[in-house]
Amino acid sequence: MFIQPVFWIIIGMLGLLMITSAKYWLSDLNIVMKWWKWLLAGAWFVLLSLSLAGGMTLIGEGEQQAGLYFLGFSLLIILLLGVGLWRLLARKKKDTNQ
Amino acid sequence: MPKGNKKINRRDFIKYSGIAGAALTLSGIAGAGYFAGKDKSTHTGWGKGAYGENQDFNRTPFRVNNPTYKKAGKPVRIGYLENIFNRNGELYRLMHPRDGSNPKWSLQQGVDDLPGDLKKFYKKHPGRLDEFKKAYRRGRQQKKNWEKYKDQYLLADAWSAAHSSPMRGREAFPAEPQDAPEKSDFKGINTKPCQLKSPGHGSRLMKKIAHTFGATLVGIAPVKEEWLYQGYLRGVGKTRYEKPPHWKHAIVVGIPHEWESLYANPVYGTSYDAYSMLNFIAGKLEVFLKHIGYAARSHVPPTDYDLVMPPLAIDAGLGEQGRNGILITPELGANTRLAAVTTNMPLENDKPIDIGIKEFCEKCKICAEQCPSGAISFDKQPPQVIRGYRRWEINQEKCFTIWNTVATSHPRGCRVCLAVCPYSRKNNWIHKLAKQMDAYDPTGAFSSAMLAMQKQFFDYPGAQEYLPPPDGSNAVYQEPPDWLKTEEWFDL
Repeated sequence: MFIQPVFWIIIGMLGLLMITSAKYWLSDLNIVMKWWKWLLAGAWFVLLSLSLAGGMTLIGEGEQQAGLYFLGFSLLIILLLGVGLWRLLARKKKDTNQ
Repeated sequence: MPKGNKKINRRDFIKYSGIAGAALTLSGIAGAGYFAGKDKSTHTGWGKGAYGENQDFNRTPFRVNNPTYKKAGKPVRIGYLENIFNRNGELYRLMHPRDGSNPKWSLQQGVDDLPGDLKKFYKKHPGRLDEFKKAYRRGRQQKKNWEKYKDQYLLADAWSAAHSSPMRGREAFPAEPQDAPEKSDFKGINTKPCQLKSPGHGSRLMKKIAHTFGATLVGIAPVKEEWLYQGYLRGVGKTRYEKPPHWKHAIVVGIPHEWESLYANPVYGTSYDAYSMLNFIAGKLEVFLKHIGYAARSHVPPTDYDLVMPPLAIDAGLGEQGRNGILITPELGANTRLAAVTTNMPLENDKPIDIGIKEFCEKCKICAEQCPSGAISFDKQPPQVIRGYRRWEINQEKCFTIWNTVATSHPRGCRVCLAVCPYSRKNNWIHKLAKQMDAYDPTGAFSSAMLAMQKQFFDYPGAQEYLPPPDGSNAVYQEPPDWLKTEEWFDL
């Protein structure tokens, strides 16, 4: 049980690192972020996290088939959403260059 | 931010998000710490006791060849009288012979008046007999003092008595009623009870007590005449009877089957794991209620009931009736086994709930599809009116035939419909989330989506496969745990 708070502390630190890193990546790629873009990207990442956690939870509870189907189905949707999101971010980049 | 420019820029957004994020992270860490401390699943020895996960200290690096006690002479086996309860028992029986004959020893006598082994023991351990005499006299004084304290410590005493009751005698627990409810439910009752503050206090207290006895779910319902069996009353026999006036409320308790064996039904599971626990829980509640001054009668599985449990549990707000005819609860799904205690204690009844289980069962039908006996209806809605209520009813005879068919030593149930019910899924966040969202969706669209996923993604063996060859393959819903697999531990 004692590991749980430690786990979430580490996840929090990694989250902070990830956000800072994302900021530099986006800056290097000349993508201008607005607050709503951050929100969309955040929501996409939450969706990805929930899908991964959901699929793995099902696998963990012994429902391998359900878990794999769930992962496949939800990750496909998230991949499509991710492509759309990236195009949205990148389009802004083109707009900025123009 | 330049003065007058109200539009938030990226830098400021990230800056303030960072502060908010840090605040949230710190709050989360504080919250995680707080709830880790408060979490009742961390109660030492209780949280995950069923699977030994509380024994979580890694002993391997500390294993040694010799135990840490030190041998300092020739080892001698412990004598019977070296146990204080054994020698005290011997002394008590000398002072108060069970056959009612004259005492063979008294406190006024000394060690030389004791018979053989006792005399030898107390000669060898001078001073211990005097200590016994002191304890005995203190015990008599304690009984007198109890009059002063008995109200203050009423609940603690009742709680202890409830736990010790199953250890007395060799009869079944709870004892089968030997008289009509008007007599047997009042047997051994505390005739000088304390004044209960209010029915609300009574309900809250009894729920807490039932949980400490092991109940997962507790609800309180009024006892309706229509839920009573007719034609037979325990303690009386075959008779016609009306509801005893003191059966004002029923405390209904529910617990699940052990989860891993439930999933490996029909052949690896049993109904008796839950039944035996319910006997103890309801029996202890009966003792507790009588100890604090109220009439009580426990109604326990498999057959010691004077009332039908599922409708009573529905009245108590524990759940709703499912297609498989039994109770389905939001927490345990169809994996809910029930017992009740009828009492005259003033209690506040719970209200029933409607979380859409009835509507879900109308479209789900997984239990009917998987039932090896075909005992569960496929009709969209219940086709029959049973004793005045339109409700689901299984074909009991078909169900029992399968009890007699599956590969068990004797007919001890099937329980496939309990295991495959989507409401019986594991109590983790994803299923909890689904059940919560379904309950708050009045359109039923969420449950339809979940059900489609359930039917497409989850693997079910198929109704016939649960049967032994040649009709089936002795299939189970899910792989049994290793502790139920004989081949894991024995050469077959």
